[in-house]
Amino acid sequence: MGFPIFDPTVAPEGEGFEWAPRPRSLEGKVIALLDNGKTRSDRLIRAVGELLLREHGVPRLVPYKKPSPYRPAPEELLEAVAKEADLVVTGIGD
Amino acid sequence: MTPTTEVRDALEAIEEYFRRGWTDGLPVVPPTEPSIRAMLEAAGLAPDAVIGEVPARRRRLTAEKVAINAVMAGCLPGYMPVLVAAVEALCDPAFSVHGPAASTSGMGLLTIVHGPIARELGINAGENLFGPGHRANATLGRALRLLLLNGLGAIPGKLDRSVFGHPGKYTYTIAELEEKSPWPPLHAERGLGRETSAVTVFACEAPHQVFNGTARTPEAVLGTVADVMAAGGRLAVGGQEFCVLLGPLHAEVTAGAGWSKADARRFLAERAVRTAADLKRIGRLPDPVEPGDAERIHAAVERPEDILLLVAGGDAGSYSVVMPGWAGREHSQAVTRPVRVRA
Repeated sequence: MGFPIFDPTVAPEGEGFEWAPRPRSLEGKVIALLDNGKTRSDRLIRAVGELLLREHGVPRLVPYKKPSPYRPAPEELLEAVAKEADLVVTGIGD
Repeated sequence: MTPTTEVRDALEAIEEYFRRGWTDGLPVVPPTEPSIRAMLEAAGLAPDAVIGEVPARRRRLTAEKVAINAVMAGCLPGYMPVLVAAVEALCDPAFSVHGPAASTSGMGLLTIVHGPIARELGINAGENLFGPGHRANATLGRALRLLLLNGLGAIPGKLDRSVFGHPGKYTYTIAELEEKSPWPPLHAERGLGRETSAVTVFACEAPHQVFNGTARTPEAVLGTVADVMAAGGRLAVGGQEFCVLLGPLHAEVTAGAGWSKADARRFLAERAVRTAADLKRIGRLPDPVEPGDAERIHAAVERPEDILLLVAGGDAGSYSVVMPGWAGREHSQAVTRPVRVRA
């Protein structure tokens, strides 16, 4: 009889992530800027927003900020983003 | 309880756990069905009982997985109720494990065991309490880290992006030296009975040692501790919790002058401050010093109660220890949970 090996790991539950369909153009799309909240992420995301307005035909930006960079965004915030904008840009500062 | 596979013997099993990336870099004790069952029985838990969930990691930690990792770490079955309470604390949303598990700042999971069970299990609260030689300290902390690695996938280089990490990320379990403390123990201050066994989990840096062998007043002892708390190179300039261990000699000087724990905490909170001018001069804050910066205060803690103050360590030297917490209280805070000991 052999010596058993027991798996100490825990697999993630639920469905894996899928990318949302990518738009062919940003022309006329309302874009949410979701600030992750880390140091200087506001500057980075503002610069991205200016670029979108100036060069990609984006008519309007909607700013959001996560209450904590270290916790997942609250459901209500994600729902508001989904309702108000066609696309969201987020990222990390530091 | 089904094994994944079988190998020839225990020595081969040790290598198999390495091969599969299931260790912390040290050899593990290969679990067997009886050793896993003994863990579960010691805590009175069914294998599929859910001890905690971490939605950000989409993971649920069952008693069986906790038991497997406990055996691997070298725990005795009697440690299991403490480990279960620590996992519950870890999964509390107030602790918010995802951040400290992933952060570049490389936090350890300091686990403080309180009350009678700390003494029953022989958890070292005295000399060399962060050092080697005590099975309960070494293996309990190791089991919690193995659960972070194996249970929550906090794998270095993947989720865990610590720039340095620290030695406490292997194991970081201590107890309070309650019998030598002149003050009520931490768990009593946090709303539990003195005779209740409990665990506090706190995400923090490595211990920063504080020496003062000539201090004869509480102001001298705590003034030195506050200076270390207010070091300009800390991760956050204010807002986080701190764990401060006063060594028995420092505690004696402080309490001997009639100071309560609340007095000590208040003094530390008032003194552990730097001015903006100071932080700019050392380069920790950008921009040149401006008028008013000398009066602009950056406090290490916002409130005295953000300092977890305990007495621990050996009494052959005049040392204390400061462990700055992670990021800020609103992002992760110390969580205390009672240990359910089986009747």
